[in-house]
Amino acid sequence: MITRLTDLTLRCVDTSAVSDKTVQEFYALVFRMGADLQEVSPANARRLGPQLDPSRTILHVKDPSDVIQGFVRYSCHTPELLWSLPVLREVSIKDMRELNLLARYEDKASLRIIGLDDIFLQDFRRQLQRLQQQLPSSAELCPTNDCGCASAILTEWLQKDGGNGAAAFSGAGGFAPIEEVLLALQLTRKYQKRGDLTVLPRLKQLYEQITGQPLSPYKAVLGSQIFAVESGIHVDGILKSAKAYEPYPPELVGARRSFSIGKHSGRAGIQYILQELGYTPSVTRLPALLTRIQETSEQNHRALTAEELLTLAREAGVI
Amino acid sequence: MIKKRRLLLTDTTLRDGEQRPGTVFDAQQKCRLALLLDRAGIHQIDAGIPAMGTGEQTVICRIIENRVRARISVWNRLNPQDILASMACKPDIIHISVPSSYVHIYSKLNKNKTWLISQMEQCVILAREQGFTVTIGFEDASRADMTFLIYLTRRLKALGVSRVQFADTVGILTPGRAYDCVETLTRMGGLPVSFHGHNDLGFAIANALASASAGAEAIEATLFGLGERAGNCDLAAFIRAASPAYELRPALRDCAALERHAGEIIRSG
Repeated sequence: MITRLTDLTLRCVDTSAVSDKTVQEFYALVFRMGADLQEVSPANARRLGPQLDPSRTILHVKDPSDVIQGFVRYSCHTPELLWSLPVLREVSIKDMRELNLLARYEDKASLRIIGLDDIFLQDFRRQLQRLQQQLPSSAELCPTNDCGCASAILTEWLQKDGGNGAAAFSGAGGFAPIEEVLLALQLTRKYQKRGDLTVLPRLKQLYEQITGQPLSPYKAVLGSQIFAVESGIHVDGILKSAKAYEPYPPELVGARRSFSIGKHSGRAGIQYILQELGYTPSVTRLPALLTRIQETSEQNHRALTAEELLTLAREAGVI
Repeated sequence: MIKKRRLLLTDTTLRDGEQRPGTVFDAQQKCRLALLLDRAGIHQIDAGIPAMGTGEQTVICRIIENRVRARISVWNRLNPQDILASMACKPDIIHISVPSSYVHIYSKLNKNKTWLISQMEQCVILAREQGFTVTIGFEDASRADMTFLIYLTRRLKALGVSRVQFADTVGILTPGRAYDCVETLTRMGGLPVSFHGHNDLGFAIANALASASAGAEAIEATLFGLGERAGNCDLAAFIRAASPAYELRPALRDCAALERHAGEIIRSG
């Protein structure tokens, strides 16, 4: 079943620090990544210029004076203020006990449910089923990320019977990180590939420019170091079969794998890196080199550079 | 008021956490982190890999000497030499990692299931004969054949193994699958199950919570989510998420201080 996934990033972030061109490129790449719709703030809508596609964009308004005509939809906490427009009503639900509150809304088809991050503390399948029973298929789930579970909740929701959902790049605004949801849906193979995740490194770069904050190198899906490997057992495993210690090929998200040498390196990894650097290492001297690498790495509290590795390898008579 | 179920926590910062490339703890940092976790009430500390050499063994022995309440486990490959190195440290628990998916058995080890079972039994018997508590970690369990895992668990139960760990080594589980796997293994295998999750999809906390609700006895995590690739389940973040439903040690009220002190120790290197 087709699901609709809305990206909320340009609703949440202040883009005043970057040029219109940067905002426009970000907007275009979010669609390429696989979002079906984007929701934007009035300020960001104005910056998109001719790039703006109102048929695929929702305008988030706080006040009737914010309204710009022509968008496919509008989102608002108080839709009564926008009575003549197609509006998505946002309802915050802190936990499942509040679900009964939905009964008071006549037009459930235009609801967006925000919250529910604690659903895994209960029988989450039953709770999601309850939610599904109470809502028509056009309603939307937008979990918040207070417990770090929003992308998992949204993935479970979208996997079920094709509900709709909303998320944001890297979890902007405290919502589910959309890249995690898109990748999970792709990996479960229940859905056809819906977007091109190789744009993620560029999107990340633009997002960092917009927010002025670098993302963690270990951020799931986006981090620059998530395909770096040092541990001997893992390097050895990857050299034999990349699938052994990689959840998916790095190329799927536009990344590349790298090996580093440090305290946890093993003989296979050292041998591989020395060969990559153009040397033919003496296998019999590798254990002595391994000990020196462990000592040096522990003294310096970090991995070794290529130059340091070559120096130690020469001292140990490996090259 | 409904009594919360007790959920055990194992910290693997000193072993799996340190495997994040470029993360290196010296002996003093390791001992201080272990003591900090112990005082905060952690049930179990995965202290390291004795087979790495005498330096690592010395640190592990110091952690064991200094501990107050926590149970200290050490990690082993499926190899009698590793078990012998571990036994010399006299830990509370000898934890043996058993590659369990076909990609690990056939492509990484270049062996078969018959070899695996024989080697596993040899290693378990070696440790059990000396009176050690043994736990088994099913490496890459999330991509393994569940029937095979159940079969292994039943054989391990007969050998006196205390617990098996379901490891989502490459972090590809979704909570629904995590729940199904842990529930099935707990029900069909006959041993308590712990869950070890990675954060590659950003689901480590959700998968740990789903595993707990499926009956997992223990959850494994690391300080600050340290670990290979996108890291492991973050200990403090898990406690914050799980506290409304489970009785946990370290307790929620101690999390902020735990992270502050752990951060100071890690930065002191």
